[in-house]
Amino acid sequence: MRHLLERMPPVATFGPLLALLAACAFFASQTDRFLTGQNFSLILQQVMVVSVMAIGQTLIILTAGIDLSCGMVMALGSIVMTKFAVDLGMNPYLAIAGGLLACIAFGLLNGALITYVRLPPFIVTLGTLNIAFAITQIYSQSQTVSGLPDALLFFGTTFRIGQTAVTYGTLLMLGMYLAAWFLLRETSPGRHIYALGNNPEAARLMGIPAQCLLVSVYTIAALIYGIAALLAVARTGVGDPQAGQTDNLDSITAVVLGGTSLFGGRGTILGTLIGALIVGVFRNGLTLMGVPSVYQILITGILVILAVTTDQLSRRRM
Amino acid sequence: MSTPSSALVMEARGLVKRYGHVTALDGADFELLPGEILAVIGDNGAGKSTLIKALSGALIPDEGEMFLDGKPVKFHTPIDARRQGIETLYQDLALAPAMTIAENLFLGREIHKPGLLGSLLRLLDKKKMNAEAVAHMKDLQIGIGSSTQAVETLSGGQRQGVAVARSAAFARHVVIMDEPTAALGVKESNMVLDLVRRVRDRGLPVILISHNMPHVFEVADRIHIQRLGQRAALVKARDIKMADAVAIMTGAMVAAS
Amino acid sequence: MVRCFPLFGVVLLVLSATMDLVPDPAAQVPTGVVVRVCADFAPQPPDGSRGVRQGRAIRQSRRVRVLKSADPEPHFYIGRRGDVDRKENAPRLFSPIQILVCFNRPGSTDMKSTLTILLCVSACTASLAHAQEIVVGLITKTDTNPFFVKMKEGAIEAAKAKGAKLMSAAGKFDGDNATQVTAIENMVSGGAKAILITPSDTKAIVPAIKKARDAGVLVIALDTPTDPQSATDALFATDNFKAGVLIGQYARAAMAGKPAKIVTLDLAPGVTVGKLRHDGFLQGFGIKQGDPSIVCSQDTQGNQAKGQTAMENCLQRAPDINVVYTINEPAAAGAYQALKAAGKEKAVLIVSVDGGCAGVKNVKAGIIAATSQQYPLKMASLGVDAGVEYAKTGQKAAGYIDTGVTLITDKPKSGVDSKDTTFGMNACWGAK
Repeated sequence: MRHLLERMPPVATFGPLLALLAACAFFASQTDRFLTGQNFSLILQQVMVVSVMAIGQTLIILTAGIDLSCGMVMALGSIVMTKFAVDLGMNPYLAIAGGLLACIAFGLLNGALITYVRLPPFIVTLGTLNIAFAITQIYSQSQTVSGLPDALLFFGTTFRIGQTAVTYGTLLMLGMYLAAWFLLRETSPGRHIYALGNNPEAARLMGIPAQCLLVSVYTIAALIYGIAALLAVARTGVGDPQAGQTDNLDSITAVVLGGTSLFGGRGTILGTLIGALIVGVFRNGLTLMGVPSVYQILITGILVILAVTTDQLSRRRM
Repeated sequence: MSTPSSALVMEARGLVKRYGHVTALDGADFELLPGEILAVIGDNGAGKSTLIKALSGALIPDEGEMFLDGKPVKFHTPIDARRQGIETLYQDLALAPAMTIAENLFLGREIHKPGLLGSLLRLLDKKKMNAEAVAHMKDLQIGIGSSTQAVETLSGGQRQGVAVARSAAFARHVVIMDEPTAALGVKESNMVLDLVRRVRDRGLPVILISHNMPHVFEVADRIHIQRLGQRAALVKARDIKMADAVAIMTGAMVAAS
Repeated sequence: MVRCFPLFGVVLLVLSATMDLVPDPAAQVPTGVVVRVCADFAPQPPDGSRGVRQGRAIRQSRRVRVLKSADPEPHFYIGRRGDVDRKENAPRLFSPIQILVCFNRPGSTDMKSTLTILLCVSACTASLAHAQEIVVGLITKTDTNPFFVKMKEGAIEAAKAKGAKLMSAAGKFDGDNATQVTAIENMVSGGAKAILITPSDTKAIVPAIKKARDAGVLVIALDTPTDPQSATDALFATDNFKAGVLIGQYARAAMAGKPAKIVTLDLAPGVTVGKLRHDGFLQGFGIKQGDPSIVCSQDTQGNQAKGQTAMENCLQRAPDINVVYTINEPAAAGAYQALKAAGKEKAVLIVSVDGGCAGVKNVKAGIIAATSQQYPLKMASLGVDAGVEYAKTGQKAAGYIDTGVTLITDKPKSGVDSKDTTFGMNACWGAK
């Protein structure tokens, strides 16, 4: 029996899945509009942007860091992409590349400051959050950019599975989760990320190139935010400079609800997806039930506390 | 300068290390024979840890020479030393608690899948690593449930076992152990001392640093006594009494040359 | 003897030119500041001094202290303790304020501390330079919302026209009270005679406003009333309730008696603007809160992406909605996106408030059926005028001035006054 228990994933990842299923069961019982393919497709579209950002956030939190600048970097990426395509008339694919490069630049900046200047990630990303926000507002003059070419809107277009309309963006999101899962579980850099967060001293002593790895993590995360920017543009149909302002906390919420420890070294990427879905399911379900928005915020807060408490308790029993 | 003795696995001559006004090593010598357990003892401030750091590559001595298997060596980082086959077991074990035994054993030295999958995508060969981890642990007769257990679920002695197994698995020349029994109870200390003997029996010489005299005398073949930044004595363990060793360590007695 | 480095004086003059501290040749009283640095000490101790040893410099931590001499002409010295009354040796230039900075070690020139002192001094005396012009302050909720950008533009132009100086500040986000409080305090001490503010937190800002008014500063609220409204001298604002009423009446007229299924996409809990517009809409439509025709109400924080999500979820709840009230035009754009994805955009009437240029474009494109346009530029210019008036004559502005709201639509309905989108584009705020 103990052997079996050892083989099962820890409570930390099981818990969120149970919570998600319980929430789905509850909402299905309250309204018959919940359990439809169309509704689930909608939920996936609604969590798409934040959950993709949460992939990058998970990688960073696994190294015991944190990234508060993710939402603003995403907004910057979306403005650069759309302005390049519309104002400068660039080839849309080059415009997308431009947006991704803008995000990567911020990732490099974050990584370099945290690794080589040894500043705490919280403070560095707090600073770059403001810098990215300001640049976005200045470049866009705080105006949304519309009239986008089709290439930028591709991920918002849908195809049918039976009766349900599914967007390509949803597929991209799921694909990215698969790639991240693969990286973390099956490759040595993924394992090194866990080691870096769990015991950075041990990682260093064992010859893991910690500095190089840390900078790479922040840069790859920023690239992921750039992809999230493309998804946001495709979903809303415009480049919105006011987008993403609460997304940093939303992505951290998804990561925490998924059972990843903020102290680093523990957690799974699938947990993050479940965490993002939990938030989306509650928001959708409560609206279907006619509950005012403010209760969604209340419940999210309660869930976060529950998630962290469960994680702590399950670890203490060891 | 002088020719090194090629019979020695490791040798150091005239190591000097100064920290500002403080001289930690003042012309210290060191030698290690193949297949032996050499205990390094000394009071605090005698330069014991500095000596070990120099030997394991954690610091670069100001003066002096070091030889490995008769060839002169210079270590710039601990990784340098590791590449030359010297494994160090640190006092805090350097284990990642949330990761499994197998993952810890191969930390930083993972086995990749053959071919392009391994070299380009860096895919891990987890089956092989798990199997080898089990083999290494069995070799040293360490009792572990399964190699996919998380290290934090193990007792102190078992964790020490994992760390020892890691050093023994990858060492080619020397294993240095820094206070391996410091945090352990009686039963687990004995387990670890058994382990040390088994490592020696596999053909790897062990440098053991310890404050615990009974443990030292139980397991060491020779004893290197460090005092005031120099080697005060190098004697066979059965040629000296524990009280005399302590006396030389504290300076109450001077060793016969 | 004191050896001075006139080089530093030159450095400072250059610095002060850029920092607006240069002695104004036209004015009678020069207002510059000069700092000179001496690098070794005369060893003679004046009477009553302590701590000065003969012959060699003392290794002490640098002490910087401002000593005021007994001379009626203000001369300030920063000197080492013991160096009292060296004014007869001090250089007297054209400036009334001279600072002598001396360091312990002969020959040592600590560039960093010199510059630190220079910067501190110049920052403190910066306010001296701006002597006689009227200063009006403008504090907005944020400086990124084009609404406030337009407001600031209007204020700058009005200030220029009246020859007044505008100080501006903004919070970092909607609801950022702390930054606005600090801004009020800074502006009052910076000599502002009037402050125009769009309060982020209509209750929490009141104590700071009271302090400012007690100090004789005229405070006018723009766009959003404080709670209570009498906390400010005057309010120049859109009647947000009326804005809601207009679109409510329009929606009722457009529905022409058909049963309505209404969705309200609101702002956030507790923000007055959101509540006023929402309640106005309900009154204009002729229903009360809790009416069964309101099938879904969700918050959007005025954000397009959140508006889209809220609309999607409301559509799931009630697929047959036909009227959508939105708090502002970005939320309306998000709602349209959701309706379009569901293929329902033709069947649903969207109304909104704001009248920004992007929003009016959407009205023209048929995305939004009607929007209530408001005039931030007018608020700002009226406010600046009132401020300058107060500074000149002491006449305080008072009461509530409605800066007007107009219904903009290309499909007018009888019984509801409106103007078309051409008018709307001419009067809109934001980038055209």
